[in-house]
Parts: sequence; C-alpha cells; structure tokens
Amino acid sequence: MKRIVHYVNQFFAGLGGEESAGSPPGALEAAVGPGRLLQTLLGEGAGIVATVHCGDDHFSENEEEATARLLELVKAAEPDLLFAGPAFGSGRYGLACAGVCRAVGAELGIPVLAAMSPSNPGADTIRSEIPVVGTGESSGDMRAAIEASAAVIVKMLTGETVAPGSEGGLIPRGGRWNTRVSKRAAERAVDLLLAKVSGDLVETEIPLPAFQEVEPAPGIHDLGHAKIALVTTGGLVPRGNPDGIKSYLSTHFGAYHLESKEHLAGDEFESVHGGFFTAAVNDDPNRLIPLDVLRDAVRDGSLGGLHEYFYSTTGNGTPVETAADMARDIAASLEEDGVDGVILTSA
Amino acid sequence: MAKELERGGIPTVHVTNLVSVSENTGAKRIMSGRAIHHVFGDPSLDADEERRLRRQLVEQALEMLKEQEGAP
Amino acid sequence: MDFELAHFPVRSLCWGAHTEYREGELVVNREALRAELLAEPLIDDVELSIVRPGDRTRILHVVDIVEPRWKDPERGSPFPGSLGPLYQCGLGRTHALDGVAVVTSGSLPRSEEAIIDMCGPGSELSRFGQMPGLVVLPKAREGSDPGAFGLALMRAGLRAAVFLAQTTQGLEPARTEAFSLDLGRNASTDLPRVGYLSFSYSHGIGRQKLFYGKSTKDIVPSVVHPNELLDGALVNDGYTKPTKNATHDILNHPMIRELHRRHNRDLVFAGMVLANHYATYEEKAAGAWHAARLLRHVVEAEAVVITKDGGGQADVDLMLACRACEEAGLRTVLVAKEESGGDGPSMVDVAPQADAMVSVGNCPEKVRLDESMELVIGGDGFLGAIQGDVSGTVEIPVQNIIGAIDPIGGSTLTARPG
Repeated sequence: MKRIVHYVNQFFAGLGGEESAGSPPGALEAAVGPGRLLQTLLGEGAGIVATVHCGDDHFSENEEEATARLLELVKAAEPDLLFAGPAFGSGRYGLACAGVCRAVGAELGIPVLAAMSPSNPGADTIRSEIPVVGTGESSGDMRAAIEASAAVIVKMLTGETVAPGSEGGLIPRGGRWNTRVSKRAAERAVDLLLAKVSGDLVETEIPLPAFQEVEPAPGIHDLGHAKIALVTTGGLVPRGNPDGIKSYLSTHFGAYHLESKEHLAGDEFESVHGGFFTAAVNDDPNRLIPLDVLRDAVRDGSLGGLHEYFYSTTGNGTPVETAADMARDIAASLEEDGVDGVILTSA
Repeated sequence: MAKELERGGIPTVHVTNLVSVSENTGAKRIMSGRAIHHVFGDPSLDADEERRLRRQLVEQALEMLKEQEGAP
Repeated sequence: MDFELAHFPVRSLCWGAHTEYREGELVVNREALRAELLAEPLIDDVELSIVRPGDRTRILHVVDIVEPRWKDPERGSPFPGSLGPLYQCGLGRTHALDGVAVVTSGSLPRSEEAIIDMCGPGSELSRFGQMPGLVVLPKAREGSDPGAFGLALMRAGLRAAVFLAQTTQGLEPARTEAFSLDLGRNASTDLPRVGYLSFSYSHGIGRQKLFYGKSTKDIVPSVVHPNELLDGALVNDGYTKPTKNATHDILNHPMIRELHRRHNRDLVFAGMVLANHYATYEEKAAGAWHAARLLRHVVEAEAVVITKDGGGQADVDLMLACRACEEAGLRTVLVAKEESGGDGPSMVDVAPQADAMVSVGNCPEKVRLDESMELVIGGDGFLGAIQGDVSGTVEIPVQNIIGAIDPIGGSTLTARPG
C-alpha cells in the first residue's frame, strides 16, 4: 500500500475556525475531514497514514519554524506522496500548502500535490514548480476538488511524472511552453494566411497582449513653474550598481539622488543595460539623462525645477506587465512629490 | 512605462529611437531621439555643439509635455 | 524559370578507398577529402569524422550544416559567389545528396553554443540528429583573423558538400523534382496571390547570410526568385547564433517548398522579397516600407508570410513589416520564435496588426539531455553560459540544439500557454 500524508489547516483538522488559527503544527494518525472522502476514492491501493496540520495564523507568523516542524512530522510518517489542501480561495491556507509542498518536495524528494483556487496567492507561488489542482473558491466545491485531486494522485502513485500545469485540472504554470504538433510551422503559417484571406476567424499561436488605450494626462500649462522628473529604461546607475539592477529581464528600478550635480559624470555613473552598445552613454551619461542642459533650463527660467531623484531600470526583455508595475510605483512617488511631467528615455 | 505614467496623471514624453515599439505599447507622446545608443547626444560632434544639440532636443521634449492631446 | 533537383538518397555513409556514390551508399576517401579542404589557405589541418543516427555522439560548436550539391561546371556552380564563380542560381539541373549532412564545427569568438546529438532527446528535436553526417573540424592557421577563419570554415563546408555530390556526376537520379514557377500574372485563376517576405540575418561576419557571396548587410529588400534560394544563392555565415538556419535548411527551404507545393492548388505563389535586418531604426522603418511596396506593386501579392532571422531586434523588423504590409492592404501571417521567461509577452515588440502569428517555439526553455555520450566532437566544454559535463546529462535551452527552433518553419515545435 502506498503511503500518503495529507496536510490541512486547523479548520479541516477539526480543531476549530478562526479562534484556533494560532494552533501549532500537529499530526493525527488517520484521515480526517476531506481526507476521509479522498481515502474512499483512492480505495485499497493507497492509504492516508497521517494528517499533518497547522493553524493558518501560526504558519504565516512563524513560517520558518512551522515549516521545519511540519517537515519532521511528514518525514516521520514515511510517505510516498504528500497532498495539501484543498485550500480553495483561502490565502493564508493556500500559502501554507505552498510552503509545505515546496519544503517536502525539496527535502524528501517525493511527489507532492496541492489543491486550491487559481486566484489563491499560494497557487501563484508554486504553480510553475509544483502541480496544483484548480478548485473553486469555497468548500462548496469540496467533492469536485477531491475527485480531481484523487485522479492526479492515482496517476502520480503509478510512477507517472505529472508536470506542473499539464492537463487534467491542474492550474497552468504561466508563461509559454514548448510542445510538438503534427504540422510543420511552414504549413501552419500558410493555413493561417489562407484562413485570414478568406475572412475566417483566425486563431493566432501567439496572442496579442491587451492593448489598452490610455487617456493622455493633461499637458503642462506653464513650464516655467513646472517640476520635471527624469526616468530611463537605459539602465543608468551609479558605478558598481548598488541596487543590482539586472541587465536583462529587470524586475525592479533604482532611484538615485541628483544632489547638486550640474551634470552626470562618466566616472560616477554607467549603464548596465545588456541590449545596446553603452560606450557613448558611459562616456557621457548626459546623453541618456540630459541633466546638464536641464540645469541650464532651470537657471534661465524656462523650466521651473527638477525632481531631486532620477529613476532607472533596464528595458530589455522586461515583460510589459512588469514594466507597468514599476511605472505605477514610480508614478505614485512622483505624484506625492508634486512632479508635473516626466522625460522618459530609452535606448 | 510611458503609458502607465500618463495614466497616473503625469504627462510623459518618451524619447526613444524605437518609435514604433513605443507606439505599439500605447505611449502618447513619443519623440525620436538622436540614435539608439545616445538619444540625447551625438559623440561625433564637439562638446559645445553636442550640448547645443542636447538643449534643442530637450526643448523639443518639453514642448511635447505642454500638448493637451499628446502627440499629433 | 525552370529549375530541377535530381535526388540521390543516401542510406549509408562510410570511409573507403574511392569516393563514390552507388545505390544509396556514399563512400568517402578520407585523404582525398582532406586534401580538398586544405586548399583553403587559412586551414592548417582538418579532422574528419562520420556520425550516424543512434551513435552515442555529440557534436559541439556547430558552425554550419550543408547538403551536398553538384552542378555541371559548364552550366553553373552549386554555391556561386560564396564558393566558385558567379552563375545565376535556380536554372537547370542540380544534383542533391538527400538525407546526409556536412557539419562544420569550430570554436569561433562571440559564438553561442550549437549542438547536434546523434541519440537521445536531443536527436529527437532536430532533423540533423536523424541523418548521417560528415563532420569537418578544421584547425586555423596560426595568427589568422577569426572572422576570416570563420569564412574559411564556411567555405570548407561548401567544398566538402561539392566534393561529395560530385560522385553523382553522370549517374541517373532516383527521382527528379521540377520547380517551375512562372512569376508573371495568370488571369485565369482566382486563387489568392501569396508572397513571401524573408528577413535575413545581416550583422556582419559571423552574424550574416551571404547572397551570391555578398553580405546580406549590403543588400536592400529585393525581389528574388524563390528557386534561387533552393539552389545555393543564400548561404549561412551566422555561426555566432544558435537559432540560425543552416545552409542545409535554406537549400530545402520549408516555407518556399510549402508555397511551391500549394501553388495553383490553394494559392498562387506570387513571388518573394529577400530583406535584411538593418542595424538602425530609420533603416528598419524604410526597409519595411520598401519591402511592402515591392510585395504590393511588383510581386502583386494580396497576402504575405513573413519570417525573421534573429532575436529581439528582429522582432522590430517583423512588426514594422507587418504594419507596412497591412497598411498597404496585404494580409499577413508572421512566423516567430519566442523568448518567454514568465507571463508577459514573449516578443520584444508586438504591433496591433500582428493578429495572426505562428510560433516556432520558446527559445530559453530548457531541455534535459540525459543520454550519456561516448564521443564528443568539436571541443571539451560548452560555449557561453551553458554549464555541465559535455558527455553527460545536461540541461540546455532548446535553442542551442541546432534545428530544434527553425525560424523558416521546418520544425513541428511550437509554444503554448501551459
């Protein structure tokens, strides 16, 4: 008989609701709650040898310690597989399932499976590395969730590798993944073109991102009293790159104080952008962030002032969504500081 | 990025050489820079000329921030 | 313009006393081939090997792959301009040894790794892992310029290809294939007129293709006859990139062949434009408009397939061309490789007009090659960022297996959300 350990939170372990959310890790030597239904569906070949549980608050407040203790409890039951959840839409429970799955998978090297709703933050954390059965938002979906999980568990116990995001009710991993199809790309391309010409609805293999129209912000009335900020995706940072801005697939930005600098000097700043020939900018960073002439403009009154920081990241390979997130953060802080307009430069 | 800053209520001029790439992301005020490797400069000019050019490019960028409807 | 390929299938490849082709068996005299290749002034020595499907062999640092071709010297040469005198390609009969590859390998600066596995998962991903190959591994003359040696390496591959196919001189082919395509307007059909816009890698030595021996960096978008490409007009000198199309791919051009196959059945193959990936945005934009005008007014196409030949910057060309064509009233389909690390778009640039795209796969996705190799040809370490034991299990991006990602559509790989 294959040995399964089931992870649940305090509520499904029968210890109580929110009032017991602080309960520490523990183990029961039997299937409880949703585990009973799972046990029925799995039949003779597999048995839940232990139910390991932890209060959701306890886990989120003592994650490291709780994970270590839960790992010990799981290990002691000598399982062939760990199943966690279903956590449905509960965020803290989902994150605990994710943490336990990840630790057990890494430490014990056994197959692990979680179940929760695709919108659960726990799913986002592990869906690219661990198979996660997609469920509804509430325990009203229990039966379907357990049935779907049982089907995957049976597959896993027969030794079949179940990749994250594969078919069979698992939550997609996100991103794009290679697969083979029957026709070569040349033939598919001609098929698609003929369909497009004949006016059929065509199914592109690379969907377009959502192009959202944006209402332009009102223009600046009086530049003489306006404060301008400088933002670049050209990767200009103080030499040594103190914030570790990545040269490719950047996920964060740096904010650098201009102090009383009249211009940006090549021995103080450099571009870490991995996608263009940076020599001209490294020689004279004003070619990317035109500080010198903007100081002139402020001095002669044609511009009101300059924001005291410039913001920098690299634009190459960065997904539009990530760039948009960074821009929203930058916009929020610029608004707070009363900035009226931005000059954004790219390589 | 330019689009999100505009959405946040801050007029933003995007100075870039890859104009169509910026257009395709939905940016509103796009200005073509001098070259991909140095949008606000030109190493082939002497220092004074380059600074004059940069001032002129910056004025052009600032003008675009004044426009109410973004780039025509 | 009539062009005919005379096919000589190769079922086995081995060394022997005389270089000859007999009923599917290709025998090669190693010393004679060596002497032929040493005619390249920058090549000091050359190591030659034969690899066969199923061998526990991995070839590293692949520079190019060529299909053996021969043409009657009185009437032409198989790779005019790139090797030998200039003739017009795509006319008359050319001999081809089918199902065999001449593989050149060499360590050249700034190159990314490109491998061929003759067994295991790597061989399943590339057609070059499934056909016998003759591997040419030249050694550079002391002090030779790396770029010039790269070109010598490329020519060595072409030389070996001609040397092998010469064996079919005077022999009857197993079959012949005619590629007749009259590019004049034929009023008697209402099938859609489809054109092909082919971008070529064009960033200088080691990052380019050669058109009649001339760098594609120096061409402008031009109307060419598709048969010219099937007959050796375009040769690969793009050894620095793994997702290149080898000369072997171009000689068997999957997109051109597909359009030929469906000509006068589903469509009229109206012609093609060969374009390059310019280095600056202004040139890219002007090139895209120029290509669209040629397709609209010279080729007189109403729909166009567009393929690219490079990474991120090539996406900009693809999208500019898509936009220019669609604005000129031409319907487009784009063929693109993807570079996705997460949930975001997998391309550097996407135009709203690009509503019909075909994916040839996601380049950075890793493949686990778990077959252990007995022989590794070409080097004792991987180039670039790939870490691991060259003869053992290794995880590498799929793009480093040459042939797995095929920018001109010869592979069945694609990428999907998952």
